[in-house]
Formats: sequence, C-alpha cells, structure tokens
Amino acid sequence: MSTLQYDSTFEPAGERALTGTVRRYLRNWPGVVGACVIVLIALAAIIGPWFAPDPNHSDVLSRLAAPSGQHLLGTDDLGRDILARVLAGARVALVVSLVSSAIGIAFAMTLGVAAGYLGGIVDEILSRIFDVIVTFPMILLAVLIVVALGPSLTAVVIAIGVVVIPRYGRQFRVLTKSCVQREYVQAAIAQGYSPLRIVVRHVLPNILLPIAVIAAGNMGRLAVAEGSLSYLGAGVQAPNASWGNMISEGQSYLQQSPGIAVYPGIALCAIAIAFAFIGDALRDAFDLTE
Amino acid sequence: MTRLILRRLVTLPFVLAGVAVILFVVSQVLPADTVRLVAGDSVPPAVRAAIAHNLGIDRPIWVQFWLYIDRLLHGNLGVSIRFQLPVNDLIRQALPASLELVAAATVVAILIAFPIGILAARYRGTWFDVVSRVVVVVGTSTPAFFLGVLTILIFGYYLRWFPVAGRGTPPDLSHLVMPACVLGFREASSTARILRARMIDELNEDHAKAARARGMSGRSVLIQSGFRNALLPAITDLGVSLTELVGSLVLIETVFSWPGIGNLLYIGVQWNDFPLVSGAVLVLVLYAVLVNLTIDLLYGFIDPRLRA
Repeated sequence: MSTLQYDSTFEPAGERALTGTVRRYLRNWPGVVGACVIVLIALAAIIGPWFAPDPNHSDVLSRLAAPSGQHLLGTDDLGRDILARVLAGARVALVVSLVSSAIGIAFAMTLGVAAGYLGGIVDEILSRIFDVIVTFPMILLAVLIVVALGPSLTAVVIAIGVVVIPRYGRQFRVLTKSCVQREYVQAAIAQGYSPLRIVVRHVLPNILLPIAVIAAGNMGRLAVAEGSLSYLGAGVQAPNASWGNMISEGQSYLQQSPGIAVYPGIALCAIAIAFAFIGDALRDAFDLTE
Repeated sequence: MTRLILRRLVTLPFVLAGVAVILFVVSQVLPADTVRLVAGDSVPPAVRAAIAHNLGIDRPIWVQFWLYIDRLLHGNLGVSIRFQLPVNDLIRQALPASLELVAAATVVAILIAFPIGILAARYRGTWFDVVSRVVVVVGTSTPAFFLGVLTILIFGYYLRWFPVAGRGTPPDLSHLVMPACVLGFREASSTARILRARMIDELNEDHAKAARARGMSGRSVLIQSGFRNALLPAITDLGVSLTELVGSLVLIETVFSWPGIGNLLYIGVQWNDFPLVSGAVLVLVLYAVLVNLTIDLLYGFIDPRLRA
C-alpha cells in the first residue's frame, strides 16, 4: 500500500470544490461502473432475502437442479437455492469488509496518530510492532487468529480487522508526521493548545480523506480475504452461506454442476474489481498524489 | 557488500523475536482454552492437568513465554492432533512439494512478466498493450482460489489436458503445470505492470534519447536503456510478490490438493488441529522473512549504490 498525500491548502473551499470532485468522479467510467456494481450488490443483499427462498432450506428432491423459473441459478448438492445463497453470501462479504475496515481504522487511527504526533520512543515501539505484524502474510495471521478464537463470523471480522491495523496504522503515522510539520499545526502548538485538541481539530480533518480513499479501494481485498478464510474452512461455518465456503463445497461438483462454485466466484470477482475501480476513481477525483 | 549482509543479519534476530512474540500471543494468550487447542477435545481431566503443567499455563506469563521460546528453539512444534505425529516430521515431509511449487511458479512468473512488460512498453497504446493491461487487472483482482477452481474446470474437466489434483505418484510434471501456472500468473501480473511503467519512463529519459541519437538500434536501446534500468523495481516487486505469494500458496495448494505446507495448514484448519496450524504458519512466515532478506541482498548485488 502506497501512501497518499492530500494538500488541502490550495483547495477552493465549499460547494464548488465538492461539485468539481463529483464531476471528476463521474467522468471516470470504471469508477461509475464500480459504484453501480456495489450499489446493486448491496441492494440485492439487503432486499433480496425477502424475495428469495431460505438459503439454508434444502429440497432433497431437486438436488443439483439446472436453472429454472423456481430456482433462477439452480440448486446445489443439498438442493438449496444457489441464488438465495449467493445473496446471503453478499451480506457476509459486505458486512465483513465494512465492519473489519471500521475496526481496523479505529485502532490504526489511535495508534498511528499517537506514533506520528508523539514521535520518539512511542513512535519507535509502535513502528516496530507494525513492521513485525506486516511480516506475516495477511491471510496466515488471519487464519491463525480465527482458529485460536474458534471459527465464526465474529472471529473472521476480528481477525481481518486486526490484520489491517498495522497497514492503516503506518499510513496514519506518515500522514500525521507530515501534517505536524505544517504551519497551522505548529501555530496551534505554539499557542499552547492541548495535544488532543490539536489532533482532533487540526490533524485528523486533514488526514482522514486519504485514508478513507485507501480504505474504500481496499474493501474488495477484505471481501476476498473473507472468501479465502471461508474457503479454507476458517470462516463462516456450514450450513451458513459465504461465497468462500460455497466455492469450496461446489468444487466437489464442478463436473456435474459448475454453477455452485462459479456464481459465487463471479460475485466475489465483481466486488473485488468494483472496489478497486472505486478506489482509483476517488483517488483521481480528490486529486490525491502518491 | 559485506556490510550490507552484516547489517541485515543483525536485524534478523529482532524480526524473528517479534514473530515469536506474535505467535505466542495468538497461540497461548488469546485462546480461552489452550489445552483444548493443543490436545483436542477428547482428553481426560488428569491428562489435561499434565498438559497444562507441561505448557506452563499455570505459571506466570513470562515463564510461559520462556517455555514457548525454548520449545521453538529446540525445533519442537508440538504434536498434531489429527495425525498424532510430531508437526516437525509432517512439515519436513511437505516442504519439498511446497518449494517445488514456489520455484516452478517463480519461473512461470518471470516467463510471463518480463516478455509482457517489455512488449507492452515497446508497443505502448496498441491492442497488445490494452489486452495485457486487462489481463493484469483480472490477474490481480481475481481471488487466487477462484482462479484455481476456474482452471480446474476449463483445463481439467472440459479440455482434460491436466490432472486436477495431487502431485502424482511418483511426482510428475503434468500435475505441477496447473498450480504453478495459476500461482505464477498471480505473481506475474503486478510485476509486468511495474516493468512496463518503469520502462516507458526510462525510454523517455535523456540517456535513452542520447543512445538513439548515437545510432543504437531500437532493440538495444530498449534493452540497455529501458529494461536494465527498470529491472530493479521489477525485481523489488517480484520479491514483494514472492512474500505475498505465501497466502496464495496456501489457497492454491488447497485447491489442487498439492501435498505441501499450505495443504497441511488446510487440514489443520479442518480438524481444528492448532499445533499443525501454528507450525505451518511459523514455517511459512520464516519463508517470507528469508525471501525478504534475500531480496535485500540482491539489491546490493544489482545496484552498487545500496551497498554503502
């Protein structure tokens, strides 16, 4: 993850700047497509389950059925409606990426800003801790944490949240460090304001935007991480649906009915690519430079 | 060069100590019932107490940490619940398969990334460039395990070109092709993109223009001015992917039932076999640390400025 810099000094204030940003975003077609895809998936995840059959209801008489009017995407090996399960999986993917982002950012903000603002020994210790955690490939540490806590949706959210803390924490640290150099922060320090007030009033408003943009672009990766954990069995447990465990179960029936694994896989790819597009488009729209 | 090696070797123990601390926290401090994680569910109370004493759970945390480090330093990763065998032995058996897969994937990655990166820079803006960019986006965004499943579906079941699972008995090349290609493709995509971007930058630099003005052929300018200068960032990225590869490795080994360490990890997760899971994670993290070290040393070799 590279660090984004945002220079608010020369930004024209108020409404005009905002409409300019929106216009720049709308001109970026992958960004628009990405946003539409995410809105569609989110709507389907929220509204869909009211119309689709129970995702865990198994109809043993129609196992591995082909797509039909009754089951739009067919049924899986236990006769469960694939569409309903893909929608249930969408809920899991979106909830995990949202909540674990929020957890990760909350902790990363506290630690990263502390390291960047206080400097010295605090910075040294926190930076080393971040470095060591980043040595662990993301998915491995997450698997370890999930198995230690006992596999569940909560464990997945916690594990992914913990894994992203040092990655966002480093960003917060670097941005805070460069922000503290600015005249307006130096002036606030010279006036003797408390560190808390300076951080909340002067530092955070200027560094939250780049982090939010990075986080938006990363949401897809977190959804993929959730899928990977569930695929490995260290995630949402059967019979509950997650795209990862659907692909895992569907792999045994690839020859008879590939749809069981392919539909959730397509959904996962769509969400991953869409969030990546959104991240790039936001970066351009807010004119953030690396 | 010696100074660079020494400096790296000095920091290594600190990184490893940090890794050990995290493993200790996750494996000994985090779980509510460590004995169950270490020995499984079906353990009589008397044995539970003995295991707890053996692990030192009844003692102060720093003693526990010391015992944990002591076990690690003696290369004792515990006993697998699923196999009832020392985790060390299981990992020793699985290691060659994983190394074979990583090596093959890296060869595939270089074979894909370098030609695509060079050609996309050379034929910038043409259909080749556009197609390769789409391939790169798909390659980086598609989840590794789904890419594996799709490969099995297309090349294993529809076209029937390659066997879909395992390493073969005795191990043969046809089993290696699909997992190595999927893993290599994942590794290659970001490297190809960086190679292309850096080569385009370099070819616009004055030294490239000067070379062209002196009448050097297009191909030698491309290689001498473009490729050689873009090689360092490309290798940096290849190194980064080699460590990130560890995550994909676990997934790809699982998809293709490749009998390596990733597959051990998967079995460990399936059976709630915590000693196996943490042992496999430890070995894979060690691999990532060593690759990082090697890459750092390679820089010094390629770019003499970094040796100081």
